[in-house]
Amino acid sequence: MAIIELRTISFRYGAGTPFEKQALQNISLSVDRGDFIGIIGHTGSGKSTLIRHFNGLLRPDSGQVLVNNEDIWKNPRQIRSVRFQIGLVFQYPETQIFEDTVAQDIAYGPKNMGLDQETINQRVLEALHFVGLDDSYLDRNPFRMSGGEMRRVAIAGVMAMKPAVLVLDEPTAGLDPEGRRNLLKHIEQYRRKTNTAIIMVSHSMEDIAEHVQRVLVLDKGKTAFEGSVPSVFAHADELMQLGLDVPQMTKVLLGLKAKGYSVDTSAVTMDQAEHELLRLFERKDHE
Amino acid sequence: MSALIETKNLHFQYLHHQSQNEWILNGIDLTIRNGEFIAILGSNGCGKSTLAKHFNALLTPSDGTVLVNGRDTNDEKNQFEIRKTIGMVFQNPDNQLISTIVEEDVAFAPENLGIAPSEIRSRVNWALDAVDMLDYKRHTPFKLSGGQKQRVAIAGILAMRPQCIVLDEPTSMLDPKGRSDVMKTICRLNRELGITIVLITHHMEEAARAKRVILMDQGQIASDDTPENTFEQIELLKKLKLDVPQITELTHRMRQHGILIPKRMVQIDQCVDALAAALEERYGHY
Amino acid sequence: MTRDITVGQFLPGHSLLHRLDPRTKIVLTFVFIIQVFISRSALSLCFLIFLLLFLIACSHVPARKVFRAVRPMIPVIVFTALINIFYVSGDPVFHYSFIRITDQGLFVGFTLLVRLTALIAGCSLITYTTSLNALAAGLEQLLAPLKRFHFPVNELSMTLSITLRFLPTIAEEFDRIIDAQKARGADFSNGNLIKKIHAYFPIILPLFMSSFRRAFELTNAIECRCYQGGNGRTKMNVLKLSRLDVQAIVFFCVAFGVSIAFNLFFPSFF
Repeated sequence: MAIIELRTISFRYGAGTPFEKQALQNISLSVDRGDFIGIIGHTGSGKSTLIRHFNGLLRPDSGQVLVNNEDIWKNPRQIRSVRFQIGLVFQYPETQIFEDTVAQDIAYGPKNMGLDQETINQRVLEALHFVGLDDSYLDRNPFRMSGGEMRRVAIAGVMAMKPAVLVLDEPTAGLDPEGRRNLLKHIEQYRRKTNTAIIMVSHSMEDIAEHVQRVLVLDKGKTAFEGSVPSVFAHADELMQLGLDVPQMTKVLLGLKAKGYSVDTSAVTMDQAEHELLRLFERKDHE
Repeated sequence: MSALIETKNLHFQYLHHQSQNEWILNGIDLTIRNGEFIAILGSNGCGKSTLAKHFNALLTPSDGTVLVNGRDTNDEKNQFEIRKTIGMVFQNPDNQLISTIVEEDVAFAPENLGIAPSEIRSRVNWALDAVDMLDYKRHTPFKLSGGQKQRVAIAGILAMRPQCIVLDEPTSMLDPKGRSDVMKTICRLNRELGITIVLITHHMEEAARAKRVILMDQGQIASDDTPENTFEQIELLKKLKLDVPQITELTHRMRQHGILIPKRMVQIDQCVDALAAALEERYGHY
Repeated sequence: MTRDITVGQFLPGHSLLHRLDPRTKIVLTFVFIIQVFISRSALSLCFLIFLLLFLIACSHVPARKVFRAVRPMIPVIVFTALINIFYVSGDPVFHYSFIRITDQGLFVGFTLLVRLTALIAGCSLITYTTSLNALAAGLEQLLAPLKRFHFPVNELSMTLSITLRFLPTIAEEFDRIIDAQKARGADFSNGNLIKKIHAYFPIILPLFMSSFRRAFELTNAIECRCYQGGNGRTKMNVLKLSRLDVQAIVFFCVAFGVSIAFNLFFPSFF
């Protein structure tokens, strides 16, 4: 059963004003527990509008958002409870930190849920560990930490609400290579440990290729492509035209294909490309 | 080629750190010549942004010297001239644009230089044309995409007619299209206008487009070489917590499997050609 | 999210009003304001309305846009008008216990309504037809003589221009931070005032921090572009009065004269 499902949702900004703009059109998506979904699209393609629909920050003009098979807008007064089930981490989340200590900042979400102090403490600790920080961080001032550490604290703040789905908008933007690898590693571990579904918006095709199972490509508020990673990146030319990119490994294989070699271009990661190239070299050996 | 920027035994620490005696820059000796295209790589906190800020006297050395065209950055009298020569572009395009109209923003620096109005006008048009944003000159920056804003920011520096532009992670907040547009612009400025480029980046693929790559670690230069040679030092890259470009890694793995393709490769086209050549060598023409 | 900030929503165009020198527009706006204040007779009010409509026509700005700027001020305008209706003495036309409405009161209330509306509409017209940068430049040049008294005219106009530039950016950021805290379950609708103020703390502090960071980065960027204060600065767009400006000034002088004449010679109420 899908944990969250979008059924042909459409949304326009500033309806009835001269600034009216169709931001989303007939988007459907179904996410199961433990899924890892990627969303790509250039600036202004509707990604940030879309992710605001997952947890009811925006209400679709038409279509439905179902969480556990129930329309989240059935009772608009209850919308806050949806936000605890669908965790949303915005771009540069470290900018939303406001407490003096790491522990207090992570506790903000659980406190808003009305949990008792003991549960809160336990969740704070757990979340801190999920992002790879140890107990010594609890009493530290987040504003004196590095940007990468602050980012992890901010993400922990959403994990501490124990959502069933965690939506991350460009979680690695601006991090250095090590910071980015580390963060993605911890998100992956968190997914495996808790079976939380992850929806990740990213501009890095390599990160998408490496981590996610399914990709949704947005263009001008519509679904341009949706499917498994190789099936989406098979549309290299179209993706480039949409202002996107394909992973470098795919580009290498596409280059060989263009030279007339019969190569399977569905490889998107280093390991897959290595495997495919070896096959290309070895198959010939046996001919 | 003459030295444009020269650092000698450059040390730096922020005043309030002095007690800890921890150097952010710990003895940098570096010469940047006119027309070069240099990429600086290093993990966060390695001192690369601090180094960049020394190139145009935003920061001045705690010890050692920085010379720009032979002028000492420590001498306040030189700072105006130095900033005119070495332009700087930052990460967040939003935080460097000051006007609500693109062309007026680009005019800001020449206005500060006290240039005659008609000359400012022609410089602004020239600079916007050089970054391919002339069509947007009457637009408001707020409505532009990140990549477009960043190119306007570059034009704003270009209008000073600097010899060198230092860019501190100019693409890290952009989407793939914006990133590739900005990179194309940077390469073109270097190639066609001969402007010296110092590019600080976390993207190995961007660094691979430079002619010279400097790796930094704990306030020191760990390596200073061509991209091809730099990225061959896989152990060093890993030690400095950097990425190995995927292309380099792939060719490395291929060689380990006994497939004869040359070393020192960073570009996709090179790699495809080499793989095709290796296949051909083994089996004759396809 | 695309937000419509009415203050300073410049609508680009090539109308007569757009083409006027910003200095002319600033000065004439002041003339217009004075005119609004002295227009007290029915005839001069009619003339004022006529003048305003004429200016709107000259600006090519849709009239409904101009009057939309008035909307947020309606409570203030109505309140002021009501006060006058109740407190101006004259012949009572309506009397019920302590409520006493006089004919003069009604008239003064009504004229106030018209005058305040004209005032706001007129001022919004200049912001629709003049880019904020042009306004800042115009103001800077008008105030230039004050430089002799060490008044930081240049810096002031630069501050103004930067403020205007960052207004939409920070508004957008404000929205984003609200959404981010809502995503963590923040509740801004329930509770008493103190609770509400408390709820806004997680928004105000991050916004403050981020504005601080922006300011820091902007300072660096400005320094990199050789800013050294106003001394020795030139301008790309040198303001030059054109024939159009002269015509506009003459036109306003005449209109101003007509207004005074109407007030002086036809001061009767009705």
